Amino acid sequence: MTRQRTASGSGDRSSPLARILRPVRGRLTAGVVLQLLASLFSLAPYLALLGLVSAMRTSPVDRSVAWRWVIGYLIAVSVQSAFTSIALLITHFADVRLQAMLRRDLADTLGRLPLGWFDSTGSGRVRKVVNDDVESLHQLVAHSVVEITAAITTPLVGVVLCFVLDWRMGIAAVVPVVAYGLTYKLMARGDMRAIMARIAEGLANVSQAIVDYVGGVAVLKVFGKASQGSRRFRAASEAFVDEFGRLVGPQMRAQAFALVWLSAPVVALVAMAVGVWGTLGGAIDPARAIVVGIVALSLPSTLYTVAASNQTRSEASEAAGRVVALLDEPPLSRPVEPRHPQGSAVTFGDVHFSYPSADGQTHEVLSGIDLSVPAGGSLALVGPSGAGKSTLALLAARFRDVGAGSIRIGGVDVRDIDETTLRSTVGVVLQTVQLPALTIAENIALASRDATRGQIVAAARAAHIHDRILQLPRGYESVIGQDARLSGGEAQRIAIARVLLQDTPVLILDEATSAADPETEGEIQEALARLVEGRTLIVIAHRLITIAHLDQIAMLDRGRVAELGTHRELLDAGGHYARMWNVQTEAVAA
Amino acid sequence: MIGALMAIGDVISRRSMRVFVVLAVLNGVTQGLALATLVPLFVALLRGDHEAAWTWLVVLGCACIVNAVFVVTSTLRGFDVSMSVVRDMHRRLSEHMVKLPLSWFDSTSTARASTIVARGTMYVSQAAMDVLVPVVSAVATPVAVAIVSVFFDWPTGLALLASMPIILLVTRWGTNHNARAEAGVQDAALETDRRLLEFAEDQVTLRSAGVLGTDYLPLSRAIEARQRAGTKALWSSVIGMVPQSLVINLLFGLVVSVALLRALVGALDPIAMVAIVALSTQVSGPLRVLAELNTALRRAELQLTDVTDVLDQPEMASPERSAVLPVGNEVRLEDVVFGYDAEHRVLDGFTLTLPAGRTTALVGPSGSGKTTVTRLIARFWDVDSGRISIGGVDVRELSDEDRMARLALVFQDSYLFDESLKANVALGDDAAGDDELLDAATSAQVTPIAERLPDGWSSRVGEGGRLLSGGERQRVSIARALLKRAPVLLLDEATAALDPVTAQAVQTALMVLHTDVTVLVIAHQAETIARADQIAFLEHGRIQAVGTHTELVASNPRYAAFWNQRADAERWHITTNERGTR
Repeated sequence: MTRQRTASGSGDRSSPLARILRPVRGRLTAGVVLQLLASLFSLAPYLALLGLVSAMRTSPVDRSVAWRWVIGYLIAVSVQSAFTSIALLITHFADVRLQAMLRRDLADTLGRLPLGWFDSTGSGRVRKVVNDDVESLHQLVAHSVVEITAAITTPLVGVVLCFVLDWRMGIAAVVPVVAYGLTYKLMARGDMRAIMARIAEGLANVSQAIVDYVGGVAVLKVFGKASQGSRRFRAASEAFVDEFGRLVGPQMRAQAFALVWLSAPVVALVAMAVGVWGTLGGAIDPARAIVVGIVALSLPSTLYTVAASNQTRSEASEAAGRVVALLDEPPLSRPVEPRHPQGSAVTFGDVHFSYPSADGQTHEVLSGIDLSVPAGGSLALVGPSGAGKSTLALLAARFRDVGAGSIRIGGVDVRDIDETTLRSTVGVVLQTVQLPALTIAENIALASRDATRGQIVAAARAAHIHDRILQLPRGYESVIGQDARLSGGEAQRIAIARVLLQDTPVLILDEATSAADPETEGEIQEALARLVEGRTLIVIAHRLITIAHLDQIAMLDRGRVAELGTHRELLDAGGHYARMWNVQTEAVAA
Repeated sequence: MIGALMAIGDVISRRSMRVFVVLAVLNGVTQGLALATLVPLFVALLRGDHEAAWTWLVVLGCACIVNAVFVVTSTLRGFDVSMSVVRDMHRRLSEHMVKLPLSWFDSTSTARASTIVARGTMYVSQAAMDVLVPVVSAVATPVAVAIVSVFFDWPTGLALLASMPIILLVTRWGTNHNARAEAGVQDAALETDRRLLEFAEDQVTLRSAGVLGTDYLPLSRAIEARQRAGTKALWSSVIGMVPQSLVINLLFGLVVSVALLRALVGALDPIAMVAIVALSTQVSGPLRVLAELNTALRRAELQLTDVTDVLDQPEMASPERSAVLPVGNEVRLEDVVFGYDAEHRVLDGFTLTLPAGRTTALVGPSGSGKTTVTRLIARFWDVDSGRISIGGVDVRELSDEDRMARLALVFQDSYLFDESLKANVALGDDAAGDDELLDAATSAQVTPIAERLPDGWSSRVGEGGRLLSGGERQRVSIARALLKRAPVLLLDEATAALDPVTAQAVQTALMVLHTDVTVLVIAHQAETIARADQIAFLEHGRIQAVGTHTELVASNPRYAAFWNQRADAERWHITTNERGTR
């Protein structure tokens, strides 16, 4: 059977930045072209100024000529800035568009990753990539592209003008820029790219420390360790700030001294020193010397943006690298030729599964599981915690992929069933219920979006939650977390209603009976009783009595099936199951 | 902006900041003065007065040296200041957040706080460095140039000076205009943040519901709304930009015209006029930059407001030292009234005594406020009226340290830190030796977790403990509480997430502890309830009956019904043949 990975960009060898910018390439090009025009236009004011100087030197001054030059000068200045503004506007629109596209792509990618990925990657990192990195691209797309163009072409045009006016003055205009570069190079050490990467990493760590700290404040308060926690967080922050200072400090110092060369007075000094010397010998026309002096004054400010945007650029390409790395995370494979399950029997064939552990090793939790549940049959998974019960059950819902072996539903490997079919085949009720901040109705219809209100209400009734919903301020339209604050058991019944509506032939219950508020446990049980009717069932339960009547009970221990049979058979066998049963029945009898 | 930054900074960085601002101003002023020498220099040059030209060149050289000193010092100081701003903000935020009442920490505030602390502070500090220096020099340089030009020709100089406040006003108007649009984007951005985090956290549910990626409508809607808000903000900024640049260009044209007119009537040296016109480009240039910088500054201000918003959240007032120390370990709740909001009282006249060294089980229907009681004793919130005391002392009169030293609490939902398993247990008592730690861990059945994990005790547990199962997290939090050996133990469904065998073992360990510890237990296992020294039945915000299990079953029909319901639930099973019957 051939399966392929969803190729979001595999085989693409262009740089991450280029790949990300591709959708807005046209707009960016338009912005750059406009800015090129603006840069060319930047000559006009100087030429007008030159004209004005000549006009003012003739005596008597020709008024209309002088006015013409002044008006020309003003128009030139306005047109130039208008071009730049429009260029920036275009790139800003491109940025808004790109950001939305990227966020959608990222969400789509996240939604296809194996769920294991979310265990090993803290939400702080997701936040960093999904939010901060997309945001850092903003600076690049919206500003830097146009600004870099301006920063390179405007001074270039200016320098060319200087050389055309007088080559000696041209050299004088360039000297400070060269001196700046040399000074910075002499003083600054280290590869800026590597430094930026380190900073980004430090920031991600601090961000993780913050999430950890804010999330755990409650616990810290209880243990009277609040101050210790804040110390720990501050240590992370201090470490980051120190590291930042250490990495960026030398660069900053180099910059502080090098910047002197680019300060307007120094630029003017160099240009005018040459100018005065040149006019002294009559080699240089004073009018030209003055105009070159003024052109030279405008050079440093544009160059300063080059330096600044260089940093943005490397920041953005770091960010782009992380975004692309995320977009390229291997998703769960998609079948090339999806097959449809025939019936609802579930078969586990020699299933192996390993989790990666911190040191890069793998840690096998399932080692060769063989089990099968006929259509409409039922299987209980029991065993000590950590025995791999949940992992095994959720493999059937393809939350992850088996390491070796296979899981078949209706005779078809779950990896060959397309996602939509699989989800409408296997339903899951878990111990921890997650209700996104949607309305109650939307939550119930999460898996069946075209359900009618009648169907939603029917499901809620069957799940014994309808009456409670009606007590909420806006009934079915109440929003979780806003005006619907539900207890664990109530949330569980919403989840049951959801699966009832989804109406899947195969059902997995993972500790679904151990709801957080036991007073409503009876109602959850009734809801579950309705839910399991006529479905192929895999159940994990704490309380053995809950599953004692199922067709088969598999006792898992350290990734293997240790005991398998009916309740009666296992009791007679007198193994681990029988011992657990005794402990529990004693407890209940007490 | 500077004011708000100063308010956050401590004394040292405040002084540093003041020095920085002074240096930045001096940088701008000396730069403006240096540039002003160009006017006489240009005039001398065009007149062919070489002696004067050389003199002015020397003056310019001196001005350069002075300015260079300020360029270097203000840049260096700016960097120091921005570093200390981050440091101060992190310190203030971390100190403040622990003092906030727990009610503040819902998921929205947590997400928001994380963003603010991580991104906001960096942004603000960067603004101090990258925006403040240019802003100050963008204002100071033109002002210096304008003042100098007054000496050459007062009408031109005055026109230049007069145009500046107008330009500033127009710029400010434009900035405010943008800021209003930006605010809309901020809200949309926060909503996207929240939805994306929710999307990542609820993957299990969404995935099993077959909701993939942008199929999740709230997220795609949030992204769309953000895009719309962004687009709208851009158009709005265009509306702000057009009149702004129109006014600036007009004013600039006016100044140049005045200069030309003055030159034409012979009041102003024509060459000086050209020099002034050329230099006023240096004036309008920085002011244009100012318009851009202003937007960046406003952004930084918004972020700064977010930071100060968090800092301005009212803290929970606790005495530094307890006036009186508790005597004994009896916990009393007297006539307690409490509600999370003004309309709904959760507890209404709640009175209960937890006798020292005894175990009290608190039972009642869900939503009756059992968890609230445990949190009130630990003073996560304050009572609206009534009194809660430990050993005779009101919890509000105890210092945080003294109160928490007496309490151990096992949460229903326990948060673990992304550290080693051992460190998470050791949270209960840093001073505990390895033996004690191992004892507590063994009692709470944590040892098997260490055996299961690849790196044993030093395995990291992931953010919030997500590498462990719910039951395992709970065992760790029980171990912590045991290690703490506090005289009052509050157990809120402490073993609910454990499998029965483990729960049994943990219960036994807790029973041993019960002999000299005051325990309040909320549990649903019939066995745990029945074993308590006294049972308090909570309904409708107050205690309906207190007594032993046998007494209550006999005397209180509500309790008896409740009890039967529990017992039924514990015998429930899924049936295979005619599934759905009980």
